[in-house]
Amino acid sequence: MSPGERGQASVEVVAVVPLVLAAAIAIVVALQAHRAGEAAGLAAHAAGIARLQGRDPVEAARAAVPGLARDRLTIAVVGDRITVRVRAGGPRALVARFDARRQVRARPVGDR
Amino acid sequence: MVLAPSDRADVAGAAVSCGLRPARGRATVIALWDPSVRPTAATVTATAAARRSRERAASCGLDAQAAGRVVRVLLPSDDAQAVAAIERLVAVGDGDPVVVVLAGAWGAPFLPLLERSAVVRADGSPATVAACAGMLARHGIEVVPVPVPTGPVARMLLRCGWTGRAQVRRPAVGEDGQALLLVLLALLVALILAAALGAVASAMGGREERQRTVDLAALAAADRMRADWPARAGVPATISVARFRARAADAARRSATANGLDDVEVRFPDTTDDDAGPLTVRVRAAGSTTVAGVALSQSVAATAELSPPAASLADAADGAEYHGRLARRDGKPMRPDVASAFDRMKAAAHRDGRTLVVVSGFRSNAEQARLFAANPNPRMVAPPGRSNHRLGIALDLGPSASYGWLAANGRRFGFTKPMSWEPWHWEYRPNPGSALEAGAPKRVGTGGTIPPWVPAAYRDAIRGASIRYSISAALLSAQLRQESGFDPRSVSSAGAEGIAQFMPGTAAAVGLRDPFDPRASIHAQARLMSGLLRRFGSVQLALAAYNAGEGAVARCNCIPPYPETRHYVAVIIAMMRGYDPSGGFADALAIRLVG
Repeated sequence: MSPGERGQASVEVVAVVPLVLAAAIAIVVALQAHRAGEAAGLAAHAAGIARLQGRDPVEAARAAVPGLARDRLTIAVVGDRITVRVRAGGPRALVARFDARRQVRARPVGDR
Repeated sequence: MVLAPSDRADVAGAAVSCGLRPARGRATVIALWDPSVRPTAATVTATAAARRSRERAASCGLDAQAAGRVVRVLLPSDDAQAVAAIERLVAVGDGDPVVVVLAGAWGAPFLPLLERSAVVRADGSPATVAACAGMLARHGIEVVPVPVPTGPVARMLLRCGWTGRAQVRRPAVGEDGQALLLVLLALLVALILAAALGAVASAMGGREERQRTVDLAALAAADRMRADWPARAGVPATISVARFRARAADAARRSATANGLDDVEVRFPDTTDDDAGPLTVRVRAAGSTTVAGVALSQSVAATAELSPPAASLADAADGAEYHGRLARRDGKPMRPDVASAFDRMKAAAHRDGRTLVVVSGFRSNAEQARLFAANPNPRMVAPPGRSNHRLGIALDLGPSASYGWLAANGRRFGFTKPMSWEPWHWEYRPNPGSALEAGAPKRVGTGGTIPPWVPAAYRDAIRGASIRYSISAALLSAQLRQESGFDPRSVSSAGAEGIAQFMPGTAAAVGLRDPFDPRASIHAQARLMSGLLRRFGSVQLALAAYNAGEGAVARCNCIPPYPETRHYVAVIIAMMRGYDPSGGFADALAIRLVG
């Protein structure tokens, strides 16, 4: 490297680092959003099956996503609708828009 | 060595010298061969090292000028003289790096110099550099581009010879730019791959959602079938097979529509020709999607079935407790038949030198509630309504020195130890799951009666066998109805004979000489079922063993997954419904996904 090249790398790094950081954050947020969606889908499915089988849908939904913190998973059963909400992981300012919500409709015969 | 156009020769030479490292007190000498240039007498500032180098160059008789950190030397126009001058410069330079810039149509005398040079740099457009490279490649000379100044300031500094302060960069042609190109290409490929993977993942995610929907639709259909099963398989059947299927299919379609899938196909894959109807339902949704021109199947299917529960009927506690007469042993209450069995067991223990003491016997639900409140650990104390002490059949026995004897001999007297961690807890279950264990029937007016659809000719035989072997008359009746329809001359395609459909081998094993004798067959049936109930501890498993063989049930301690056997069990428990309080389990069929 000639003396004239000194500092050039620093300039490039200064320019590239924010881009790399932004890309990394975008990837992490996308992964968290995907995970939340997957978890919500799994939990809703398990809750629907449990309801039809006469088991507790809330318990089944929680058991379907054992790695998920309890406060990130919300299950509401109203009529035949089972709604599962999963908060995406990470800073709320970044991921709040990516919270997942899944709803299934299931009710056993005679449960009216 | 540098090859450059005349108008860019100064800058090209200086740019190349940027990459050189003269020793301390030395300066780079830029020797320019350009026949079109005449010497000038301009005065510029220069470092001391450059001025000393200029003196050395001037001593060779050449026109030299110190500028900044370099010395510019103008070579003679004649090719041969110029080569000689270069040789002199190198000789007197004593370590000064020499950059030779050829800015014109150079001739053969320069070729040996070029060949000696490790690398020749060429200035100009990429096409010019490529042309130079092509021409010199024949002589085995490698050509690389000249570094270019990063802007006008760098260019001005290079013109003035201040090579240490000017910034140059590698041109984006030739090998120097390949890495960047490769990185950009890799990024582009990664982006395309990510987009393709994202599209595939999205398609797969959609498929997963569809799968979940058909899972629920299949279970919804099975749930409808479960609700309708007693009406379909009971006696008399109150809905037709067609209606049974139609209601299940409708439930599946409504569930699929509610969960966002409009077009599903519902089938009943059971191949059995049993009149009762199917126990299995399959829901399928066809479809496909295209990702990047590739068709991906989105077809999904799910199969659900009704399964007779294999658990002991006694485990399906409904909280009812025993209200009949109580006998007392060691001051503890228990059912009279339990007391008799305990007496026989105690006498046998005494003969073996052991003592048996009743520590606890019958406990009402209220007493159990008090115990559970004092120790609310379900593993230590059963919740009220779940303890079999309420039925009068459970005894807590002591002392602990007799536990081993009890484990070895309790079964001989009809006692079983249901919980391995409680060696003192024994329950009297001579025919587990079949006899009416609680004093109060679970359904009013159905105290284990013979169903009205049993032909009068067989009612006495069934009643007698029921009493002799302590087996539910409703169970024997339903089994006979399912086996032969009460036809004593019936012979199946598999060779089963008589009203209870004994295979010849099984008949011989239970001591039945004539399978076509209905009375003898009914007694043999009750004797066989009694043994199966003792062995497997549940009506469902005993029925499955009667139909599929003891080995098949013992291997999994479950109802074997044979459609015929599942039907057999499900139909019989549906027929028992309403006639045997411990066997009316048709509406407790389990539903599950099986594929």
